[in-house]
Amino acid sequence: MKIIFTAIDIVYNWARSNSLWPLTFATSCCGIEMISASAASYDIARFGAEVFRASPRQADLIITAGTITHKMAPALVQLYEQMPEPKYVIAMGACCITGGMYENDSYSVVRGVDRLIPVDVYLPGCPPRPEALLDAIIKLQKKMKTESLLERKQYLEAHKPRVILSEDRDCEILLPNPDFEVIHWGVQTIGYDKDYKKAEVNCV
Amino acid sequence: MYDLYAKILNILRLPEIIAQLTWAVIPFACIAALMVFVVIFLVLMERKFLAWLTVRKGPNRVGPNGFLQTFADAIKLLFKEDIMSEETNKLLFTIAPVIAFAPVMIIYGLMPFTEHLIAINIAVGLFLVFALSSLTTVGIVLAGWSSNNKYSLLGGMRSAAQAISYEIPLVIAVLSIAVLAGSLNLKEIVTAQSGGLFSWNIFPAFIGFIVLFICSIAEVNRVPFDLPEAESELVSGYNTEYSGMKFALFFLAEYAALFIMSVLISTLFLGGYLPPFNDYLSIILLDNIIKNQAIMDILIHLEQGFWLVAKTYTLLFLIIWIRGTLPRLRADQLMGFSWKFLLPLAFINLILTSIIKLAIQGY
Amino acid sequence: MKNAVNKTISGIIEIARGMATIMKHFFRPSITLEYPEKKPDLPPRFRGRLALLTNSDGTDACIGCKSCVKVCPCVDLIQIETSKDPETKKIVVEQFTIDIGRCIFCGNCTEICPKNAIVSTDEFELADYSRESLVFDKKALTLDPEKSQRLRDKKEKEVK
Ligand code: SF4
Ligand code: SF4
Ligand code: SF4
Repeated sequence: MKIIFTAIDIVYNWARSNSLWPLTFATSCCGIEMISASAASYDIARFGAEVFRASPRQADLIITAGTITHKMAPALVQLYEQMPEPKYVIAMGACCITGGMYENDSYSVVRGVDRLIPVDVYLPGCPPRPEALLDAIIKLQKKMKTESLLERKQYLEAHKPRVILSEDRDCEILLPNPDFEVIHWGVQTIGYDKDYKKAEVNCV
Repeated sequence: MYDLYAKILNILRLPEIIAQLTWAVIPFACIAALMVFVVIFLVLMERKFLAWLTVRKGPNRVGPNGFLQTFADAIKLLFKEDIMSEETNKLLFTIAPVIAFAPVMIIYGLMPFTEHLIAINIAVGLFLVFALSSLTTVGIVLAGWSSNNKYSLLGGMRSAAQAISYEIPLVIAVLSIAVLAGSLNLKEIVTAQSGGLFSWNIFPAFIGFIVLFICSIAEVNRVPFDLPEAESELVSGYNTEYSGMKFALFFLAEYAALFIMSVLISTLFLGGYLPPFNDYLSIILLDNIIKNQAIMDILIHLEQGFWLVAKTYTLLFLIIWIRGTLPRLRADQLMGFSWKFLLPLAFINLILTSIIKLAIQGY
Repeated sequence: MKNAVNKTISGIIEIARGMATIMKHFFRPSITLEYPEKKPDLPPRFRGRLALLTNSDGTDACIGCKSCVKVCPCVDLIQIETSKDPETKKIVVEQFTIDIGRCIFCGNCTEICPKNAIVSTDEFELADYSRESLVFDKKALTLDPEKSQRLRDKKEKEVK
């Protein structure tokens, strides 16, 4: 039984990791870099990911490219909820990871999309190079290949948004989900493993 | 063929009735397999060609040179979650992709791929092809209406409007073929064009060829006539709410229709499976070498298939090339183009071909 | 009528010209860079992830003046803890943390640093699976003397 599932897993993971259809979603400057990643010199199509779907129902991946404001947040969460499982998120740019340069004094910027939706790969940079986005996609593919159909329930649980959309859609207030710990922003040293091994710096 | 099949089943000690029942299913199983294969290859070809037209590389990581890319897409779509929102009409939402898909599949059965490779050979083949190809629109409109989404509904309505206005010049352009061949049977239309390159229908009815080509691009909702799924206006049109397998069916239907339209154009105007010379190449080259009649027949069969595929893929390449070049039209331009430009052209073509036919035959 | 014919003809010519242009590109070799196999040629002043340099004897080049903290547009991004060595009366940098997830790679800190202790490297493949691992501490930031020398030479070349 387990062998059969392993075989299915291999095919399944191969198929979906090689056909990541991103959602057309770009909110500011990082979006330009995402667009140029699909242009001729970087060509995201090599990974089978050039099929930018306009409808979230057909997308597998959402690249949150750009600043997410409090006004955009309900739309983002709704788009994320509309995507069919299995779905993945790449948080692209400093704004999406922590709020970036707006992090200390902005009245309007969400401090990191991981307060709204679960993020699979964080891609720092302001903006990151298109190659860095391709690198993030490769890393996401690596992550997908470690997953298994048998543990799908777990992933479904993990892929739930981290906020509750209020029932009344007219009021655009996102309530924090009490089940999830709210991530504190700023430099985080709590829970950070000091012996975390960094890759060697490739300089020159 | 049936005798052989019955004999095989007889050896397996199965009663004759099974042979009779299953015999009808076999061509459709073959057609379905052909369709899926054609679509998978066509999507890959489109992605590769579009990439090359824009100086990119295209999918090249999956399998040798990206050859397995569309297989990966297909498997992924099979495994994807199937979302149906609460306010949809569940029944219509489910059967709409089937309604869009089934007529295309029957059209595959009507096409003469070679002289004998034709599943349903009936006298009104041409008529039936157009009757069925406009049925696909019903599926699209149903999909748009049942998904209870304004974008889907608008996409479906646009598709209906487009299909109605492009059907008319299309049918009138094809009428000239019926006049030239004197038949509605697709095989007879092909046979009437035998005799080399210059007896193809494209020469007397060149305007008709242009009109039919443009109209068939509009029929299958391709760029530059892809208003039903215009991303900039209607999220993705009639299939906005579709995910997973149902979306894959729409995708399949669209590309299968694209392929079969090209086959149809090459059948009607470019001599179908006939070679561009007076005689078959294999007869000219190998007649004196191979004395066996059966082998010769098989060779001719293969050659006929080759010519049809070559013509079809030339047209498909043209369509992909157009997709790589032209932007999308506006909705009113689309309607105006059909009614004010294509329809008069189609009539002119009909009159011209009738005159040519009279001049040749003399009555 | 004449106008319509003229319009049609010019339309056909324009479409044909556009299609010909696209066809020209079909035969051009593709300009795509096969990224994961081939790395891009980065411009000489590319600002990648930050790094701390060391002197040739292995001690930190940073003197703990905290100019970089002041000049950084993201408040509190660079966090430095210093202490005074009671014997030599010198400032010792004990902790130096940069959250790469917040850094906007502006390079202000590298320009202000009096000792050229903090520099931008060429590293841009920084994607990671968790937000915590994007916080680089002193150990992760510090380069060995050999690499430091190379980066320093490069920077001096740029200045000239
Ligand atoms: S991270 Fe920088 S480039 Fe990206 S959206 Fe924010 S400000 Fe713009
Ligand atoms: S590069 Fe800019 S944002 Fe980053 S640490 Fe230096 S000064 Fe701060
Ligand atoms: S890195 Fe440079 S500017 Fe920052 S504290 Fe050290 S010496 Fe001062």
